Amino acid sequence: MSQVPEGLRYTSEHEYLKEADQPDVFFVGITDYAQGELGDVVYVELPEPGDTFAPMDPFGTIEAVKAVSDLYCPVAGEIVAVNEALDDDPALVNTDPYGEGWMVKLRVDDASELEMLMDDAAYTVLIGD
Amino acid sequence: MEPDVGAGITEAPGPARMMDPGLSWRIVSDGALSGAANMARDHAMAAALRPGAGTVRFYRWSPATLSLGRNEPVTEAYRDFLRTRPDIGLVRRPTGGRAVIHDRELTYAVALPVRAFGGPRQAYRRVNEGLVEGLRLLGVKAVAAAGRVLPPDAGPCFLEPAEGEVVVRGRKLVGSAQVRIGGAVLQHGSVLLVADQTPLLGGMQSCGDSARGNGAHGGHIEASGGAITLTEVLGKTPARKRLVDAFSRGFARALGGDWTPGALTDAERRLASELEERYGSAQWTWRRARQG
Repeated sequence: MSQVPEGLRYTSEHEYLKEADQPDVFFVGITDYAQGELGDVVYVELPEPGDTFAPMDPFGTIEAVKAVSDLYCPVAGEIVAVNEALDDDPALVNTDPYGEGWMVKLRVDDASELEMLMDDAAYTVLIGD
Repeated sequence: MEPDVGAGITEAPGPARMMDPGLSWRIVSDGALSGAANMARDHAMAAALRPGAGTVRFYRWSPATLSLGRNEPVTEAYRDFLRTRPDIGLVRRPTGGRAVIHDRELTYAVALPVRAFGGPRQAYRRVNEGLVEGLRLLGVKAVAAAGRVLPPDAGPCFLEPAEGEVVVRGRKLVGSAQVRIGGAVLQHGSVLLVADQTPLLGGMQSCGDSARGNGAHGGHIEASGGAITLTEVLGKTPARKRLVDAFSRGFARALGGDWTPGALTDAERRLASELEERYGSAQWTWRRARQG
């Protein structure tokens, strides 16, 4: 059964947003369910700090056992940091998706947009757990 | 219906299917195209996929082309190879994985809805089952490899198999890679016929596997590194029609649904024409150009 922590927001593309240490800044990564579906992650391509994205814009790609998928920005915002640890150890996405396996920190343009994303209960229904 | 099968192929039960989503499949048999045109067509048939439908395309390459994985660095070994072989084209695939020289091979591409079999990994397994079944119809006993988890900079594709790939006698016969495009999964790959992968290996021979075919045969090499070719396995190169028939039937048995021959639609061709510009651009091809 996949982990779906409380207090996070989730998308239908299996990304999460988790509050970071600054106002309106959130960690973005892929969920435990998503990493399990992908299998062993071998490469993560991430944007540069300062890049801005609209909702559902692709902001990077993730490669797992030769399968590539786009990563989608859940809400509009600006990248304020990327997880450079994934360059050397992309498997962090598998081992600790909600912790050390985060991908970017996103400063969201409008925090109220998060209300349109799923909470843990809705996401649990989506993945059928 | 299943596609017609060429003469000499023995009927036998196919693999057990846990789930048949009942897709409507189209088989497209294309000629030889450039790397950019082939990648654009594969991308277009996935991007334009209709709900409930799937497409299988078989094709060739002209000129012979080195393809790189989506996230694979351009290594010095690849640069050296391209410098010494100006007749070889270069393209970067939309899919993951590692480098392949596409020359004398049968190339396949499958586009299907991402959730048709549960997800991309299930689709990968099912398509590989189709390849194994197609090979069985050709008289070749192949299996899906246990394999290691290989990053994009682990060397050329045929150096060693990754998880789930198709191997014969422990050596890799089919190299495949996958990408998710919107609601579709695209998987394409190469069935080696008489393909020469040795130049990509440089000093990176696979463990316990010195280059078996180190003599040139009309500019080609029979087998190389961790790879094996269909010609080596069968003692001859099957005719293209027989190959297409066998793999079409193999896919039909593994993927289920209804199968008919077809062609790309006008809309797919238009989209492919647009995408060909991207796949032919230096910006895309050299996007990971660091030395390695």
